[in-house]
Amino acid sequence: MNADECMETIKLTSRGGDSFELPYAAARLAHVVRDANDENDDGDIDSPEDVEILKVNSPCLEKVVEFLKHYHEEALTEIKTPLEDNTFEGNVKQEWYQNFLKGIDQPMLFDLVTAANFMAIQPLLDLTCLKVSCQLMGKSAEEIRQILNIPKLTPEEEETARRDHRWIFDD
Amino acid sequence: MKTAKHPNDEADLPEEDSKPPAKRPRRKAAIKSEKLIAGMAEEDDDVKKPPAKRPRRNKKAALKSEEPAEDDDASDQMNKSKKRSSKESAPIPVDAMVNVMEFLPPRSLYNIALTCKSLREMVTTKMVVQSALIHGGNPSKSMTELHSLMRNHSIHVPSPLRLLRLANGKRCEFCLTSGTNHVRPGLGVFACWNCVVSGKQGRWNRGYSRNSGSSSIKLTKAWKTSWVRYRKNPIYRTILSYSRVASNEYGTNHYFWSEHRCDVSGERVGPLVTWGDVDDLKGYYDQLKTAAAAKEAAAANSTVDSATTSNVAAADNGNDNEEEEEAAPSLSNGEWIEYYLTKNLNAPPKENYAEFNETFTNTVQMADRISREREELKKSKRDDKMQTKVDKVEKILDDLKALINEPFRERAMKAYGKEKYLKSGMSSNQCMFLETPFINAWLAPYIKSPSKMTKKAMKEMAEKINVEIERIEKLLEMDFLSDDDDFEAAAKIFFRECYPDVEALYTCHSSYHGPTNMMTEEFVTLIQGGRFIGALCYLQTNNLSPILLVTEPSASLAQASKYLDETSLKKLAKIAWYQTNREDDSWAAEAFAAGHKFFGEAMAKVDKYGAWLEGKVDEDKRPAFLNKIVMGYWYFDDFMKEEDFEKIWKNNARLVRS
Repeated sequence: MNADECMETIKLTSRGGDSFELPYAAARLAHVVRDANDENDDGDIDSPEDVEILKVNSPCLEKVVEFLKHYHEEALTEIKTPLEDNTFEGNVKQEWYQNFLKGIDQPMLFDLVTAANFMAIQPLLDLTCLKVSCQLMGKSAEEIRQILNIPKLTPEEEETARRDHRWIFDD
Repeated sequence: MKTAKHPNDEADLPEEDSKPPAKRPRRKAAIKSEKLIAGMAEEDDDVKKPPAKRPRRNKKAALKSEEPAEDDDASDQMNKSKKRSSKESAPIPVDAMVNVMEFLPPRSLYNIALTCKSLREMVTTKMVVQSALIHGGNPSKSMTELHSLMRNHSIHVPSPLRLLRLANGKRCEFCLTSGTNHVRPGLGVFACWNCVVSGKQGRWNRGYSRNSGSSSIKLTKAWKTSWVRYRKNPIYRTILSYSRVASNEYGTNHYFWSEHRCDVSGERVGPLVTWGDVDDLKGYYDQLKTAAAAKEAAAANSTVDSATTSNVAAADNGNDNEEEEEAAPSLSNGEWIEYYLTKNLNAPPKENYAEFNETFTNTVQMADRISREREELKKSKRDDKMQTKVDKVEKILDDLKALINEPFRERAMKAYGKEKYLKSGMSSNQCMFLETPFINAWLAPYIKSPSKMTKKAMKEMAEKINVEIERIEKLLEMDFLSDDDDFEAAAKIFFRECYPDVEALYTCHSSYHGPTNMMTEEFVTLIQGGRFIGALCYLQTNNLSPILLVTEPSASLAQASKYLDETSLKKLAKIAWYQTNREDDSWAAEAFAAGHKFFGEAMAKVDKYGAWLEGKVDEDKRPAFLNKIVMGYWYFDDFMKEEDFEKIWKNNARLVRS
């Protein structure tokens, strides 16, 4: 059976044990699902099976499934570099994808990046990485440190960095 | 149910279900930085306190700093998420971080690199070159300059971090003065022109180390091809033209990197070969040549001796020679230079340049296309913006026109310059100009920023214009000029002829005001101040000499015309007109009187001088000579001041010859 035309649904189970049902044709965007179902290069499978995603927690997997379902209906337009705009909304014109990441907090965004990376869902990875990129764009090193949750430099380290790279800065 | 493994995890290990699946093989950068992320985690573990918050300057700045929670949540939710972010959020996976960094322009990439060592070491040459080329501007120019040196393998290979610094430079890396925007061509360092040519020591260049003991920071030194040693030794030509020897050539001077230098982090920077190395290379060549000659001589000797020595010894010598030949570089091509660069100057192997050069070559075409697309997009956006502005201004002018009184409605609000503006591509320029200069001046702020025009402002503007047009109409009726006064009567006739209606004012130009007519704000201010004669004089660029000329007694004119032609008469009238001041409207009458007086005196003097010239200048040449004196302001000024005709003649006699 060709996977693209497969009408069957499968369940993706999170680390917490919650299951989320979705059509296999939508779920196969994730390479982990394809590999788990031994889908060959021609996209043929015998019968799709449920997959446990042990590295992803329930709230995050719920969002991933939401993404997969929608992507199956309306694919994400390719994100081109250089970015047209410094804002996420300026680069992603599709309203659904804009709203998809609207309102989510930073840990959830990072969890989504991790999940997209683990499940090898390239469009979701691009979308979430773009969101992070837009957050980092135009920010100072200190602000980036806060966003990425990196410990602050000690005053001595800060001073050394400033002294060593003085010709980079305007002030 | 199956357990998900990462797509590139080949081993099927069901017993390891509880473990997180292995990750797929990563790109070079990712593999390199995997260790680093672990290091980052360690760094994170070392510090138990959350990062300190920056002091907030104002409300706006505070909101900006909370960018991670930039979405539309309520503020408490925003605080909550921020709280979570600092405590709970896991670091982004390495693969994904590389993905994130690939979207970023060089400046943001640099800021990321400044955050911690792990992220800094995640930066690759490929990432920097791509980012710089794709995002254009000065970083792209720096990469292009570097490429011209890198493809010749003539500079030390910059590390990714140095490359990132070069892409983001804002000041000279040696003296820290601003004004340097990109990498210096031919040197591959971020240096200002001053440091390149004069080497004035800056306040901040103490960190730069130099391998030699010289105290000068001058970056280049001239090697002259006019020197005798260059002309006598052709090998210098070979050295100077070798691709890995970088210099900037200006006439007979080759400017070389003055000495070997390292940047603040101890990385070697700039060209491989310095000014001093040129002579060292020549010395090395001479050494090799001597050795080769000695070897040849030894070989010749060994041929002669071979008959007398044993076969075993000959075989031994032969083996030794072969070994020596392998070690010594060839002198016929640049091999010996290459050998010297590697052994003595620590020149990097050519493979080290490959990543930069390949990335540059692969990206530059894409960058060009992106740059073109970006330009086109920018142009189309600008054109749309300009068209929108024109539409808005046209609407304002139409609305305003409806409020202007007839019959000047159309004329007063007639505009031009729209087509020129749309073609210019300069969106900040004024998009249209009104043919009536004073209305144009009043409306200019609204034409530049149409959104400033409110209904109230439009109503007020219309009233203002209507009042002014009424005043101008009244001015042109000339009722304020009396028929009893000589000057005023003459002026009335003259101005009525010149300006029978308002339309005539639109044809009134002066070279001083360019293509616009004379209905400027100054003209309107004169009318508003009740200076009607002044306003009319302004239209004539304050020159009422034509009135003077027509009101001059005919006898005097007839007498004058004995020598002077029409042009000279007009000129004389003009000179006469400007003999008085112009404080207020009374000046015109005064100037009129003074002008008449001067005119009469000047005519009489010209006539008298014409008679005095008898015997000195032929009669047929005399009028031309006198006209020349009048037309030349300096000659005429002297002529009127000087009483002695002999002296005048001495000064001006050459005019007869010319």
